[in-house]
Amino acid sequence: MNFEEAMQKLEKITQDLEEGNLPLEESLKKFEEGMRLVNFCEKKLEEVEKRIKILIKEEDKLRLESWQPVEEKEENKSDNEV
Amino acid sequence: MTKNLHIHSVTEITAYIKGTLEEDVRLQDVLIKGEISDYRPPTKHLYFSLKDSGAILPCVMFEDKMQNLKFDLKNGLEVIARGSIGVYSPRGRYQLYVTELFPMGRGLLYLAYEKLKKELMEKGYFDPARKTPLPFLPQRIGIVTSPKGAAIKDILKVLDERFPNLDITISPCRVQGEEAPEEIARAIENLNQYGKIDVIIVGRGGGSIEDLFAFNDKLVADAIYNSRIPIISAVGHEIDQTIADLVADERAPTPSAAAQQVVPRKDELLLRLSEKKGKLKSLIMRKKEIMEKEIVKFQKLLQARHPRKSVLELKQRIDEYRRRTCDYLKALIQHKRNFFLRLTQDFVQHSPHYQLSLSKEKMKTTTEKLKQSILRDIEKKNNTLTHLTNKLKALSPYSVLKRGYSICLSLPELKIITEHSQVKKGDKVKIRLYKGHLHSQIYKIEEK
Repeated sequence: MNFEEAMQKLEKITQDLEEGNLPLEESLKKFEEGMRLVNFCEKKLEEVEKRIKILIKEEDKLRLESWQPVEEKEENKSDNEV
Repeated sequence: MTKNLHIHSVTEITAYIKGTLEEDVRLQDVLIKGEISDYRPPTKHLYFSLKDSGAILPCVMFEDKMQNLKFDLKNGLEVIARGSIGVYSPRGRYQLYVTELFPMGRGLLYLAYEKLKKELMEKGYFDPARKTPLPFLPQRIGIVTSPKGAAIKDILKVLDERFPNLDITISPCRVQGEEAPEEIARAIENLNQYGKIDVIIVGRGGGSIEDLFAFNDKLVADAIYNSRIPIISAVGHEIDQTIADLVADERAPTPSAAAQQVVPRKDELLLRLSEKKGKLKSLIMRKKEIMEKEIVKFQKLLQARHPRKSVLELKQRIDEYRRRTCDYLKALIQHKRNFFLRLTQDFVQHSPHYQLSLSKEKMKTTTEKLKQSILRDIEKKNNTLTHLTNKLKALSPYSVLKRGYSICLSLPELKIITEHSQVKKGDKVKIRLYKGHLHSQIYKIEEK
């Protein structure tokens, strides 16, 4: 299950609960599942660590290098690279 | 003689020539390059000629087509004209009816673009059915652009604003120049080979059609087409759409816009989640409240129908009936009693006893009266009697006796003897004196 699916499920669960016709057992089950999904989604948002790297291919081998934006003002003025 | 000669009128032959030229497919929708001459500013339609070292072609561009003209014409300018050859009969000349006009360099690029677009369209490169929707939450972003350009800065800035913790992989390439198309294509391929990427942004900052030609290249189109990873194109440009835009799964007008389209705002998502959390909690609380109300309702219902309740109610009802019956009976008794009392009074008043007692009373008084009267009478009589007795006593023989007389009585007859003949000698007689008696026997009788 990905984030979007979890959100959709969450939406559905909220709707089901909003209609309010569910038996108590079912409601509680939905509620618990909803809370699980919320937690899942929250976790999912924090899952990835901030990282910027550059993908370089040398001699047919891919290699990642960490990358920092080049702060060269001249670069912006240059017509060569936009 | 002249009958056999086939003579055409000018109009006829011109119509024939016109027909011949205008029916020739090779003369319809043709591209012709040349240098502008005989140009004069248009009054309504535009008239000029195209010429090269060997020939000259009169051209006309009607008013409605001139609207697409994006550059100023002047004599000596190298252009490419698109149009169809036709004949203007009144002047007896063939000419080019121009539909589009491009300056030479840009025109070539544009025409190449048009050609490739048509070709790729036919191959189904732009088919919406084969486009992959972008993932909702891509966290591993691939960027194909120049690491030195403005585009990468814009993209990184927007990405960082929207979602601070992203795993970003830059696949570097040049975005203009001869090598650009091949480098762009390879950069896309490299990211696909690397694989750990959710979405790729391919782009560069704005520029003229010449600047963007790399994004109208077949190599780039193929690379995008073949990418397993969804691609959003982000080419700032003048013309409507680059080939890259058309092939890509999604397109954005600028690199910043692409970054916005690719990644949702994390803070919004967190807010939505916390709203959902709140919503869920409030919903379950509401459910709880509803259930509690239900329970109370059922409790009340149950209590209302509890047998003890009905027993109590019955008891109460019985009490009520009892009380009411009692009251009724009491009233009834009271009523009867009153009635009876009245009746008794009546009865007593009319009873024989009452009457009797009344009579008795009456009688008693009467008797008393009588008694009194009798007693008075008796007294009177007594008095009389005493008087008479006294009188009588005076007259009684016994009073004579007092004076010494005696009475001789025969025995046993006790008859008063008044004559001697009544006795005989030897008869016993009783002589009564004033006080006592004398029993005697006759011993002599004397007749005188």
